[in-house]
Amino acid sequence: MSLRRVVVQPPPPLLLAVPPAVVHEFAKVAVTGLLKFETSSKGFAKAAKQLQTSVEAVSQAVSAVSNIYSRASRANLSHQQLVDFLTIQGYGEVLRQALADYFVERVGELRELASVAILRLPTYRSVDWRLDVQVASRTLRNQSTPVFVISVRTRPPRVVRSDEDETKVLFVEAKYVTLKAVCSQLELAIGESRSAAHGHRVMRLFK
Amino acid sequence: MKFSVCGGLDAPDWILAHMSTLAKISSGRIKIIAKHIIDHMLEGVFDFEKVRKLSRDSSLGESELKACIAVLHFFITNATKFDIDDSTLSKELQQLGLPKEHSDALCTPYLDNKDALQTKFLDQTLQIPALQIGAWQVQLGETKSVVMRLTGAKIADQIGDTNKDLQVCLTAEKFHLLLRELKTARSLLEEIS
Repeated sequence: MSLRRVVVQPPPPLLLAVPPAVVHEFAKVAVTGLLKFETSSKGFAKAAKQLQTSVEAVSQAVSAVSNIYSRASRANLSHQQLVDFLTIQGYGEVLRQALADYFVERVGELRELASVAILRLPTYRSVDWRLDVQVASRTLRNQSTPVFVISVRTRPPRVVRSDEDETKVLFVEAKYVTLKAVCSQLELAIGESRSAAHGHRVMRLFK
Repeated sequence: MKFSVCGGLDAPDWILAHMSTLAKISSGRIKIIAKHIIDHMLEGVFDFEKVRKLSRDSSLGESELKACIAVLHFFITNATKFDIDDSTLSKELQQLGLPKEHSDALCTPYLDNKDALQTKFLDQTLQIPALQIGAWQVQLGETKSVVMRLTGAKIADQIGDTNKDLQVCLTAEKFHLLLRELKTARSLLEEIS
């Protein structure tokens, strides 16, 4: 977040008017909202009544704090850098210190959340297999048709995970030829990552 | 070399690498660790602390202890899977490089619990959830018929709409036909097994 190109947004009037303890509360609600991906506006009505303002002003204040914190955690700002940023935005001295102090307390969690990619596919858990042989059917006896039954268990991606983790189970049938083809393709894929041509070059970039 | 304890294939490299580690522990300790592993397979509890105490006495590093547990687990699982009797198991362990008394120390707890392990493994085999008869009723009237409600077994983590109830109404002739076909299928199965 380069300070050159930053847009100066005046702080919402509510943040300027309330005491630091209330700002602390707003910051706590903002961080909780960021960590859990949802905002509960239940407390807003109570807060608005106590502060004698509208619910909209409260939600505006909380979303301003959320915005600042998410940008700051993305850029990994230090305490002083955040204070400087808030000065440019036009926040008062006490307010700046309060917001920056609370940010430094919670930055670890926010960074951890930001490090998770948003687009994630379900992750593999386990594979179970079973070989069935069809020996007869109503219309034909003395046959011998083997078929593999495979169950693949996957978990939903980490970002979307909630407390009730549902492992999804997928049952698939496969013939021997199909399985052989899948195995050979997977081995080609593993070999590709170890190949001297492209794989090594890319891996070296990260090391 | 082909081993029947590895399912008729060659022994994996990591097994061969760790046979010497396994030979370092005394045979009594092997017996105790094997007993713990079998308890874990049957009941799901593994007292790692007790096993770690054993390793402290015999001056075995933590990673070496874990390697021994992995090797023993491999042998017990495979022996149960491929239905190997204890004399074959003992012979093959010796061929792999384990001293005779260590092999026998492993075979004894395996032999004691072989049937229990095989039953447990049979339960754990992959099964597609079966259809169950929820309720049935015979209706008498001009045409005798049977009404059945078939439900899929409840599995909490399945894709799609589970617990789809199917209500079936069969006339008496159709029901007799179904029964006869199912009995034929069962007798065919019994012939094979």
